[in-house]
Amino acid sequence: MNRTALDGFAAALLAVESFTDGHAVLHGPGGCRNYNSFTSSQCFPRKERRDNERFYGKYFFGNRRLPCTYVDEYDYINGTKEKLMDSIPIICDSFPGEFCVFVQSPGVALIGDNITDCIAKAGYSNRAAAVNESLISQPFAPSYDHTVLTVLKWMHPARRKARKGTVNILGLPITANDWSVALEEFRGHLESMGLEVISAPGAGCSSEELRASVEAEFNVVIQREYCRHTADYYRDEYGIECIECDQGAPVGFDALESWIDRIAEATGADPEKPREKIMDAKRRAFRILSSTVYLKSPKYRRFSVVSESSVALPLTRWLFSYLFMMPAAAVCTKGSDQEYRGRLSGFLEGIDCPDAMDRDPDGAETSYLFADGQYAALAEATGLCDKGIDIGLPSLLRVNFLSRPIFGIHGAMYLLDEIFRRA
Amino acid sequence: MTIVHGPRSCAHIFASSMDLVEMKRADRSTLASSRLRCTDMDDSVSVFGGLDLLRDRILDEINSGRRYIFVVTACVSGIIGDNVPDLVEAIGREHPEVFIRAVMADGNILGEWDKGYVASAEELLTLVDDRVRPENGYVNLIGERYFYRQERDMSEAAELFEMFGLEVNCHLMYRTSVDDIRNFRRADLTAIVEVDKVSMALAAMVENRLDIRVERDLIPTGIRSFERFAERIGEITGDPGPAIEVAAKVRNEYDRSMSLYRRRTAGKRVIVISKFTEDIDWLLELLADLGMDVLKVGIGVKHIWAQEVKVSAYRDDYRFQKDYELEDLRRDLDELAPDAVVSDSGNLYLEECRCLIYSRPGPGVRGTLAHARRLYDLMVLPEVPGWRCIE
Repeated sequence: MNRTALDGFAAALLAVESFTDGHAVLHGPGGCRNYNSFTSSQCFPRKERRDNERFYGKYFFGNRRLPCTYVDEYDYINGTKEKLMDSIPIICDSFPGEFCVFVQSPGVALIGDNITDCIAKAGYSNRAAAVNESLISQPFAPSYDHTVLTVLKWMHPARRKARKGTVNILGLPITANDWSVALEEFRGHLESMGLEVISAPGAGCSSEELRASVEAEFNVVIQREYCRHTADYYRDEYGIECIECDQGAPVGFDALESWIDRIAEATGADPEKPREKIMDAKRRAFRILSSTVYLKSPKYRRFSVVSESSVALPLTRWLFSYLFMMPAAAVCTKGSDQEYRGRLSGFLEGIDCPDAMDRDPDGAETSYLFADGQYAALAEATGLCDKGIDIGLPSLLRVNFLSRPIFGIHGAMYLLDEIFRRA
Repeated sequence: MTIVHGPRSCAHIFASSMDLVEMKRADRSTLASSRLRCTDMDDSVSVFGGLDLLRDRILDEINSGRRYIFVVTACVSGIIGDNVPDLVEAIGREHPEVFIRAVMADGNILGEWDKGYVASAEELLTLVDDRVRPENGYVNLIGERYFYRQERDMSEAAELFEMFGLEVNCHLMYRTSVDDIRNFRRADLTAIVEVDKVSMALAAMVENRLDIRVERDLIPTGIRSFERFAERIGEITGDPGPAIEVAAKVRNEYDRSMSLYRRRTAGKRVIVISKFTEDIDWLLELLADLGMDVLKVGIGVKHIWAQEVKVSAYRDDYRFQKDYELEDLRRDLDELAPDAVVSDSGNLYLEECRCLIYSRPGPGVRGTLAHARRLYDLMVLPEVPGWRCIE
């Protein structure tokens, strides 16, 4: 099934929106606004009562998310500077004490107006920045990384002395299912090891936390695709070393344990407490699995994964070894980390399933499809798989009141729930 | 098959909108979103243009066996000035076995939503087979746009004609097959479903290009227009007896529902807001049948694209106010203190009062009755849902 994925333009908007006091401003036509403002609200809901009244004016029209310059035919012919000069003060002043990042639409990027110059001329350089590069049709994850890095460079925090036992969490995008719950879990694990989490740039980070992030001793990585360049910048500019796990992101119990162990090894912290929590969860899963009647066991059944390689690798390994499920197709989406991709390919060869690599799930025998919510729902609706399991955005019809992240202990339990319920 | 000539963001937004429609409809037969392809324009197009990308994409699709291809432009291709129509025409000449058309919908200066819709229909109509002769009992419907409704809404129009023994031949353009378009001339009755600017443009196009008469005021919404419709169908089929019988049966059911609902609705005072159209006689009639007292009808500020094509027959019977703005509503809520507001769009004041947000019901009486039932329920519900009550 042909699918059109989110791209770098959407990634830039969402990356800015990931900052608790940051606001993406769409410099483009109104047509780009609705969908992106919806996804940004869905990923990071911030609505407050009376918002509609507060943001009723020009460039907002009742919606606080992604104020838009509404570029029209006049601007395409005459340039957009006039509109920028008018909108910059109105939009920035609507968010006192916070900051805005202007992101241009693919079409407006071709007009070539320099937004940073306009921001400077309007006297808002300390409160607004711009992503001047055009990210059109670029992969999602690297563009997210690029935008987080743009904000970091713009703020350019002064160097501070490293504080021992402190870390930042990098590479957790707000497009990850219930990222804030996953973040809280990781924070809990790390704190139980005696480590202090200063910030999580890209996942609900404030500008104050971002400024403090440079005194961390280490950065720990969730998904490499979302932070490769940001992590390099922290290392080169601030001397902060980066801890990555060769199993990929902490998806499933095994990769989570490896992730904890790797951090313990690099920082010298004691992993016992989080390991015990993971063991508790594994015991609970054991008790449930060994005392439940289910109609169809997932054992020997085929699954397909469509995601970035940092998730596809640990998920595929875990489903295979933990539940004895067999991979039918593993597709690493654009922008995937090549090292993890290579490992996944090696793993599939090692279990004599090399054909699964890069195979279109549409032709493969697939009981379970792990993919973005949209694809998962459509595949299930059209009979392409028995069950589509939502592991990321886009997922327009997703409404979750109970938390369902894919990372950490919560994530492992969510995946098990999905696999065993109504399978 | 549709090829979006633009960046991936645009195609993603289009595809996602279609995903939503299809998931809401839970229809396993079609998957329009997976028939959408994109030229994935990137930065290089500002230097090299995008026509090579487009040519490659089109030829890929032709080689993979596609025979009906539409190319839709996004704003980037408009800005860099790609000559899409010429390329598409040239490829069409090289591949006469393929039906390929360009729809210039980039929205920069040309191609707003309605223009793109009409332009697509115009290209589709070139497929109509002139050798097909009209047959009795078939109907074409024009301009159905139930994008975010569910499958049952879609069947309303078909059911409406089935009641009278007629069958829908072609839905132009709503989940239509190429065969349906080819056989467009099979119907001996063609009608627009909603009276609006886009439908009127389609009707004119069908009349001018195909010389087929289009009924502009046939499809009913609400009981009174349904009764007129039944009468017309009787005239058209030349056998009014069965039509009168059907109408009487529907009227009977309607009256029974009304007398039940009036227990709660009679005498209740409402403000009606219609942001986009004055064509709301079905609603005013319904409110009258429910015994409700319409204090005022606020009609929204006119947009160019929402050009009025039909005015209310009840203009003199109610207090109409044009260019009804938020401030007017705020004042009316204070001064008139209605029991409820019936509005076609939400706004910040409506979040604080008892209100029904309605959309225009489908053809026939069923959708109107569903609104009546909602009004009946609304009268016993609290003003504001509990989830909104936060500090």
